[in-house]
Amino acid sequence: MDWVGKSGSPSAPHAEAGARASARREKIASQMAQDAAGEIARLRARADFVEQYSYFLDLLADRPDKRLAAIGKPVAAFLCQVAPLELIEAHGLHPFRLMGGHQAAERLSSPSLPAVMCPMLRSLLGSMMSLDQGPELAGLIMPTMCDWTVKFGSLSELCGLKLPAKLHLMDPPRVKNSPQTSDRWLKETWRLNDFLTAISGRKIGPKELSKAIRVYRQAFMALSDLIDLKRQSKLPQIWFTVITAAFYLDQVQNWTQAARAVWLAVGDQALVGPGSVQTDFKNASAAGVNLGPPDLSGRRNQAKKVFLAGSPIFFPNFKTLLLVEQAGLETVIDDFCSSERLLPGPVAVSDESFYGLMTALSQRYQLGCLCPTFADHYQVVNNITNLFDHPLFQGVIFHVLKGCHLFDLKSLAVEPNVKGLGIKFLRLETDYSREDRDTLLTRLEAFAGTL
Amino acid sequence: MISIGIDLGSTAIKVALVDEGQLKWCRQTPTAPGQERLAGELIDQALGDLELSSSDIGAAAATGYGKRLFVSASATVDEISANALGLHRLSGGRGRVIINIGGQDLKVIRLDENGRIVDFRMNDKCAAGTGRFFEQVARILDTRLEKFGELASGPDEPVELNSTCAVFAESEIVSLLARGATAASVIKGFHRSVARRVAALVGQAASDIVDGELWLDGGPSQDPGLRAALEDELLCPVSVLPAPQYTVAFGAALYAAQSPIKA
Amino acid sequence: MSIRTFRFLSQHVFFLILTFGGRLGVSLGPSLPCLSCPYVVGCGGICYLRFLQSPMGGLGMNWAVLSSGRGLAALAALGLFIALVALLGQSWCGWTCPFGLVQDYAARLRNKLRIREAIFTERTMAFIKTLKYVCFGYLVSTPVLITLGAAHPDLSLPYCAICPVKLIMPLLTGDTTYLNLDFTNPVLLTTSVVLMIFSGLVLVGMFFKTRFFCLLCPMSVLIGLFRPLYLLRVLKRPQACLGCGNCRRVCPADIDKTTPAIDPGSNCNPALVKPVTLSTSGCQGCFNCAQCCATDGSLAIKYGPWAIFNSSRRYAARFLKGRTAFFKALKGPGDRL
Repeated sequence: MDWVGKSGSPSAPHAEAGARASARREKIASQMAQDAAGEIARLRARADFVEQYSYFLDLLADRPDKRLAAIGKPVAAFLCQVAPLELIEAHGLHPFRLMGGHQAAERLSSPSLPAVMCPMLRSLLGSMMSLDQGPELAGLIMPTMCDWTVKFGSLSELCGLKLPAKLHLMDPPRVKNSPQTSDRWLKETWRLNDFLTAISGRKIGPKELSKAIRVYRQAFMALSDLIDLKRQSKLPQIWFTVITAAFYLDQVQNWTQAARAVWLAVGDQALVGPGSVQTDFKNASAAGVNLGPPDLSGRRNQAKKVFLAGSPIFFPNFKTLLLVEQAGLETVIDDFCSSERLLPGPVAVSDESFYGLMTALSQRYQLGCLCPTFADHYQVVNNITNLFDHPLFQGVIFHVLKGCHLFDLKSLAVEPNVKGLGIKFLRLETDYSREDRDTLLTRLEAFAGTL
Repeated sequence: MISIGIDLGSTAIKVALVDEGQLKWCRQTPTAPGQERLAGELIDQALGDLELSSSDIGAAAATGYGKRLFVSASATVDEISANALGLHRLSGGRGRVIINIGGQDLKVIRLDENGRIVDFRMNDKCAAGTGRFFEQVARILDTRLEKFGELASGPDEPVELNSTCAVFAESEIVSLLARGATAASVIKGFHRSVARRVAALVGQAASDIVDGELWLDGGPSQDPGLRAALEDELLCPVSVLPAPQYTVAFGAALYAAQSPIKA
Repeated sequence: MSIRTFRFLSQHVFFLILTFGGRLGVSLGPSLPCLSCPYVVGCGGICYLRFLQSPMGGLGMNWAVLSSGRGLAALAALGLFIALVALLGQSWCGWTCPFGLVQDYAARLRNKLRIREAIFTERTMAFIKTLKYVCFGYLVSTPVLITLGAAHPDLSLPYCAICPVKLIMPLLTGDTTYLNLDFTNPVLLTTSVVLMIFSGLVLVGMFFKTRFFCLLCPMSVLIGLFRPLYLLRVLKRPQACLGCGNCRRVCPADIDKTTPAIDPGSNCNPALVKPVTLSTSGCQGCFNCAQCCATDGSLAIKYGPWAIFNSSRRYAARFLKGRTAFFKALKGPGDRL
């Protein structure tokens, strides 16, 4: 689901070429719509479909430009969740994450782009090119998390794409856990505040920001409960991904409500206990090493459980998720910034002044982010191995999108650490094409056999 | 009880009949449209040769890229697991690393002492080093694949092939031949180029391998020149089975024998 | 009910008992490891620092006195103090100290007014933290010096004489006795002037910096002497930490160990990583950190060998969502809210 933009209007002498380009654009746009509709139809036809999922599927089925216009607020688009959503929300804007999941869209942009390139951004640029008239955008916020996003402006120029709104670049420090770099990100966050004030015409204070923080804490709680359902095999990863893919397509309060509805419908008699305040004396050994959340093993069925890590997965390209399912594997945890790590987590605040809130947000988004762009990789490893003594999953599948150097490098760093603990590890490198389905499936099946 | 393994590969369809863990019969036919029919014909042929009837067949497992096309199989198994099963048995339990050169892919599988897969790697959407590459070179040189080993045993110095890509290697070989390189030196250079590609995929794993642990497998491994080039490149002894193209089908038959039979 | 709610109740109950309990005949004795000021008329228990200066400090180095009934009584009081510290560790500060609650309200007021909290640089912080050791040294050494004749006898309660709690707590009960300068002699005049200045600084400090006085409190030094005995403490499993900084932000003592640097050689093998205690110098046992940690099993509150609380995403999500609907939210979907 993607994005929406205006491409440069053809000049008069090239009117004929312009007409051809426009025909091509329409063709791709209808292919994209067809792909999305096909995926949604297949999802609806699944045996595990529940009526409560309809809300999310309907959001995804809408044409993106119409969808954004229907949100009822000016929209500020952004890429990468290190830009605090709460800050955007507090300015009365709707934060919308730019995403590119359409293979068809790549056909529009790839002739103008490098051969080896992040498929997500290629698809995003293509999606933007496929629409000649998008809705009004208040702004475009781009934290330069990787080389592709740094060059987003020039890449869109290469594609002949005129960006629909002012581009605001943010420069994230790539080293965490140093007060100096955290200060730098705080300054960037203040700069974002200035930008948002300029585009929204609204100067905000601590009250507005506190309110936005509360709204997102509620959203996180809804997300967290769905994550728990997934851990317990009550919510399949594919539906979880559908729910998270729709996160930016409506006002966050509505999404939260719909997610609660899924929780109530799917999670009946689910978790009245584990992971909550109640304490578990038996599980905690005297050495204090075994202090994980309570054991859930009694609730598990026989399917092999895996941890899905790596490059994010965007609608409608659910190829990897479906292949994992097909290989007889069940994803109970993921660390995709498109799914479980959609929100960095609840923000704890002790200083409720505007400065204090900004500091808290800035730290939470930077320090809590597991993106491989950051130099320290121990957090990513920790996130995978944290519950190593709890048999929640038997293997790790690391999804690498070709052209994404960061996740590629990350997989190399993570692999020995995960294997060192005796956890099976499979690196799955792919792109948006469908041709490699068979080889991927072979790998996944063989991997399932080793678990 | 007889069990059958059918390996529907990209280049050839291989069928193996196994009785009590012993290979009784195996044969292959080139892959062509109508794979299920081709495989069925091979099975009929086997039953005729062994004077068996279809009621003697206990189970059949399909593997390979076409495994879903063979709907009458009682089970399907992925080719990596089948390969591991087959080679573990055929190597007498000694095999630890399998290098499988398939028609369109390259696999490196590591096993533990019980034949369980520890780890595996596959090349990625690329023909370099695969059976397809062998066929292509044979076509350019107008030489049969079986003669590669013989030619490579000669004294000719290997040429340096700069392209690892199968597509670019074609034009490179053509121009080398035009400049007077002999077929034997091209084959030697080609072997070395494939061996390097394989060695890169094997990676660290080769460093502490002793005799009988590393096995070359799949159709192209019948080429003794490749084996020699690989030993040079990996710096460790490489073993090859007498009929390496049937390991996967054999493994599938073993798998069929142990998996529960569908009614 | 969240841990925070428990703590909130505990702080208020203790505040009432320790400040007014004496009027109803309640007395928790002279060995309390919190600032329950005896200068408050009708207090329900006495800060052990008071006892430590006198009579305990006044016993001096005289073994005859030490082995007498007075000496044994002093040792018993010390024993009781140590036992109490072992029982609740640093949570005396966070859960019972009446002056701690006063400071918490000051911080609450600051937050209500949306005024920024002061941030000290690392160097300033290090300097301030040495002051509590200076205070403690002064508190312990002066009574001994008096028995040796090396200090003025009017300094027999050297720290109490300058302790801001002595001025502020009675003021809260409407008692202005200590809000004046003592012109009796130069020593008392000096101490009363120091008291005024110190109290003024603390009043301003605690408004701009959460629990400012705790940074200077000699009681935390004394409690810290018995750290190996703590039964109640917070532990961190560094191998579970995602480094998000929530714990550090909510720590009133700004303990930097809340995100400890991890040795890259060992972090990846969880078996090699030992849990790290966060109950270090300055910790007030408030458990804000464990409650705000959204990573399963990264922080744990332990009592003796038992983990009585493990941090979890589920708890933190509910805890941080806010006080309203907290009870409801804790119930699972089975309850249909």
